[in-house]
Amino acid sequence: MNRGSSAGYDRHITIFSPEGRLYQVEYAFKAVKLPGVTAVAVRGETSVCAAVQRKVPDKLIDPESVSSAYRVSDAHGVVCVGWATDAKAQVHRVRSEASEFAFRYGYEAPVSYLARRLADVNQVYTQHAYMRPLGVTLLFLGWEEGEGGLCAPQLYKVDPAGYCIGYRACAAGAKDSEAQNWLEKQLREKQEAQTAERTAAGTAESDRTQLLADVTLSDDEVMTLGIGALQSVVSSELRPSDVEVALISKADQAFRVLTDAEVEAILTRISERD
Amino acid sequence: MAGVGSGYDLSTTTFSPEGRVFQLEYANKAVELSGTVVGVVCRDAVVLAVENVLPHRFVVSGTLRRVHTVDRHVAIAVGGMGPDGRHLVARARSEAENYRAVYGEAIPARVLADRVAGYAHLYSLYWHVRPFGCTAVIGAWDAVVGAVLYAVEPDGSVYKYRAYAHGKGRTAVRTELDKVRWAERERAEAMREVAGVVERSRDVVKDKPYELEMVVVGERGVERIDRFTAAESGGERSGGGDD
Repeated sequence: MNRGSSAGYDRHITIFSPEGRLYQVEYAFKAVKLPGVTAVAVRGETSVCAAVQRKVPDKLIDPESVSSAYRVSDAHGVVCVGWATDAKAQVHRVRSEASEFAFRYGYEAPVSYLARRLADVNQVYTQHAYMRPLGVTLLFLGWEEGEGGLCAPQLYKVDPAGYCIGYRACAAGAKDSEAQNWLEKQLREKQEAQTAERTAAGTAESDRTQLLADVTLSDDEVMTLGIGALQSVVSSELRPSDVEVALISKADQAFRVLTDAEVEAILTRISERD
Repeated sequence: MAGVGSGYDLSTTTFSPEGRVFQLEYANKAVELSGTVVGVVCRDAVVLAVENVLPHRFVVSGTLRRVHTVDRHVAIAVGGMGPDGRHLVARARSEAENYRAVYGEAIPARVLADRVAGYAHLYSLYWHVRPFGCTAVIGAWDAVVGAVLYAVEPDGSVYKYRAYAHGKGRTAVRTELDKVRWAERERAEAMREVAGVVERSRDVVKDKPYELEMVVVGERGVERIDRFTAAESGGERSGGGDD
């Protein structure tokens, strides 16, 4: 890479480099990875869960004040990866938007709406020179009233560039690509298994394999996949205190963080399986 | 990694290629250059102390203020640039007053800490302002949880601590703080230990004379402690630490 040509363009976000890149936005992505924390989120049929590493930066800190999972409302939660200070500012914004929507329209904001609002806000930061992008990626977990009264869990990822997409399963942070690959592999195995089942049961069209995005996952599988993905990218054995797991499920009807005991049970299941 | 920002350190709105904002790291350095600030949560109170280096021989003792009362139940000790600290404290006072007006009760420590942090964070976002060059160490007596300690750093990050130190002597002080089980100490004992810790962190030959400003926040509210002399603080420890 020719460093010389990019020397002048890195500093100001409104300036494109000759190759058409916005370096400041790319550096903001690096800032997300800097704390060395990874988060993984998975969506199932009746639940969506996000597992994020919990790293306490200093021994003297009270661990309960270190948290990346934020409740936005009963129907929404956000898990943040990156700079904690920028994350808090974003969460404040999300909470404000969510409650304003609920007040104005009388029902809980769709998750896609909230995610897109934050994404648009992030985009503004990438276009104005007097502000910097925020070094945080947000995973939106939520619950939406679907068609025909169906309740559907939702998962969206919003990054510093202002990009917002819905996912079946995604990862963010230091080891995002490794975790993402692990998830794809797991889902592909499930896809094959479920396709085989459907063909055997005669319910699928003979030549159509089940889409990866249509793989069905139970609540348990969702949590196991989320924590399992995290375990696969973290070098040491995870303990309940090292991981924070946020969950929205049909069973609970509200955003909550799993207790240590629940996380312990899942970790045991994962290690026994391995 | 090079400590020099080399061009990426000129504004708060610039990320370096590694994803760091050097201006915020430099703001932290400003705190590291200043007198040590310490906070500890003991059994029934929070003890805050600041090493006030006397800027001039003619300064009237006791007039250099770096620990400020915010509300009846909260005090903030400032490490780093004193004037920046006063700005943060003014905001904190305003937030506390506003909370009382809206909710009719004393502002919970956690809420105040988040608001001060949010305010400091604001100054890390814009080109036309610089970050605060100070740490706000918030000691409070919370109606629900009792003695709590929060520290807001120049970049706006805030955590709850059982003990905290920043400033010139922070490395030595933090090591000592970590060894003590502060939650078991009574306030009088904690006060003496904190004073001793600060005294021992100084270089007797090279450092300029100082005053120890100490404030204790407990159920009774915020109490200002008359300054300790080096002897009273047990700086030269000899076995019991008894006065």
